[in-house]
Amino acid sequence: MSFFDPQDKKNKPILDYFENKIWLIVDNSAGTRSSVKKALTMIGAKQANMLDADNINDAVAMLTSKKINFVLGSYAVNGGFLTSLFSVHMKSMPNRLNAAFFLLAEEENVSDIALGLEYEMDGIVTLPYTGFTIIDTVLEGVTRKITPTPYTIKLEEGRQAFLLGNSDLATEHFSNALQMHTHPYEAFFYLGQIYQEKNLQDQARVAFEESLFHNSDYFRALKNLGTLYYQTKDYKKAYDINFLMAQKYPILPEKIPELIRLSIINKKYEDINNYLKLFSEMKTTDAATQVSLSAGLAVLGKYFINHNEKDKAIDALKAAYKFSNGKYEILDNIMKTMEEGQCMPVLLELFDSTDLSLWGENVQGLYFHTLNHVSHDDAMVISVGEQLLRKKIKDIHIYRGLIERGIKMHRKIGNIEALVLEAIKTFPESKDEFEKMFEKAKVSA
Amino acid sequence: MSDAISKFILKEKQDVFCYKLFIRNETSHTIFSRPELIHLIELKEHGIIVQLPSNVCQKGHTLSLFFVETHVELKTRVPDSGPLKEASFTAMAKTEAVESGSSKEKSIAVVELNFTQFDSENWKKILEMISQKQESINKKMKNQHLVRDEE
Repeated sequence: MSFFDPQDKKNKPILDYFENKIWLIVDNSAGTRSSVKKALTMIGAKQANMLDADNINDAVAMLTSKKINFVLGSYAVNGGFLTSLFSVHMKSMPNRLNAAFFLLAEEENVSDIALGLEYEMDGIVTLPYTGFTIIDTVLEGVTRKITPTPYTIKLEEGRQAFLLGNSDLATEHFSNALQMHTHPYEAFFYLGQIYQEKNLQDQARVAFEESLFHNSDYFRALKNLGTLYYQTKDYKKAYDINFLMAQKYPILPEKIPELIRLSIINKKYEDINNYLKLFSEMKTTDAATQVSLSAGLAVLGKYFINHNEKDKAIDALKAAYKFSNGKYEILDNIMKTMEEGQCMPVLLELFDSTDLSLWGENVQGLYFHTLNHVSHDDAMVISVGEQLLRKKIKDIHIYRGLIERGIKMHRKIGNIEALVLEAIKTFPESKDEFEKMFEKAKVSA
Repeated sequence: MSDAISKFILKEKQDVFCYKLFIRNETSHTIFSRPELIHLIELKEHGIIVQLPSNVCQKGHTLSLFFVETHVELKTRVPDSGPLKEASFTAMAKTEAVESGSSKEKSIAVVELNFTQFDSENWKKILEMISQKQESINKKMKNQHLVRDEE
């Protein structure tokens, strides 16, 4: 780290670059925003040109109404996440030679680094900072923009054209850029991105592979090629690329289910058995990571069910439930897998040991379906189902269960008809199903 | 693959700054022992800028600052005078500036504290540690572009 001397003549281009640029500082803390603004004056930024926001909505409004060059903010801000500003900023300032995006991070969080790489942010400033760390990080992020090479200028012209929707012009710029550097891996990558957007998968693959030929470490090319291999069902290559990435770079938790699927598809049995051990033994982590682990464990559970390894399946699905944080889609997945594996009594025990009022109301529908599947007590099941409907929890499982039990208990046809009509009104796409159930009710009445 | 995933996913989040701060206000004879309410913003050559509850200190107050490593639990409360034995770094500081919080954050203040007595070598090491953590993150972001930048 070096000391930046604003009086040193060699730093004049830097001061000139920042002189009239506009900043947006986004953080919940007024103290952080104020302090960051003061620190940035060292590189020639003017206080009058520094805006700040303590919530996402205000930040979006500023980005869409003003030409803001630089954004610097913390990930979690009132009303949302900093990353939601990225596309807004790109749209507002498509010429990235005069724009940059920085993340403020309080912890050494590998997810922040993964985010920074994913969005190709210009830097991550750690809190607390020193005068040196914040200035050095900002300068490192924009150095190549202050005195850009012809290659960089051409690349950014291409990116601007691409962001403005002119893919033909963008292709022309990137193709020209290929001749302007010995290792034009970015130009190849951006070409690949254009082909990928046009669903020209073969051309996209070739472009990404060329990019990696020039730079096997380039994160975005690795990521996009991995996705492309997965989409084109080249699962072995998808696994190999993702394995390479996982060794070099932090992993975003949301990738976990896909990585587990790849291990399963590629029959990496050691991985498969390790995942269950690793994730089940995990201590608490943040909610977002837990939910990703949960989704991954649900994938694992399904694998074990399909391979008749019921005990491992139950372990995986129990762990998936534990980490689900009540997320409906994941619990629904767990429930379907448990149903397939004839383990619904296990799920009912899990639901019974959970305070479901802490989760979303719609989860009660899954609970009801599980209860309906396991319990022989018709009256109790009907009572629970009717209570949920009175609470306005209108889950399709509840209607199905109540109608089925009503038929079984030979309830008055009028009651069943009322339920069927309500079900159709709430779930019109399932009209045929409910009408068939009503026909069955009429026959057995 | 599972080993590679566990390397990142199981890694505990680490604070960039591995210390928590306890404050004894020598002017008002009060002690503030809620480090979780102190938000360190900037470390300067001879002081710090922090955000903390507005009743902790006023401009001109003299404070004793005790930096305790995050994982260390205090065995007793902060003493009314003298050193705190669990502290890895201690400084006397003067409250140079107090900026009140915004209308949404009335109960907090941003305070600039200048050290008047401290172990400068020890403080340099702390500043160096922060620099190294920042450099490490910068490297992770930039290493992928060495091929381009070296041309």
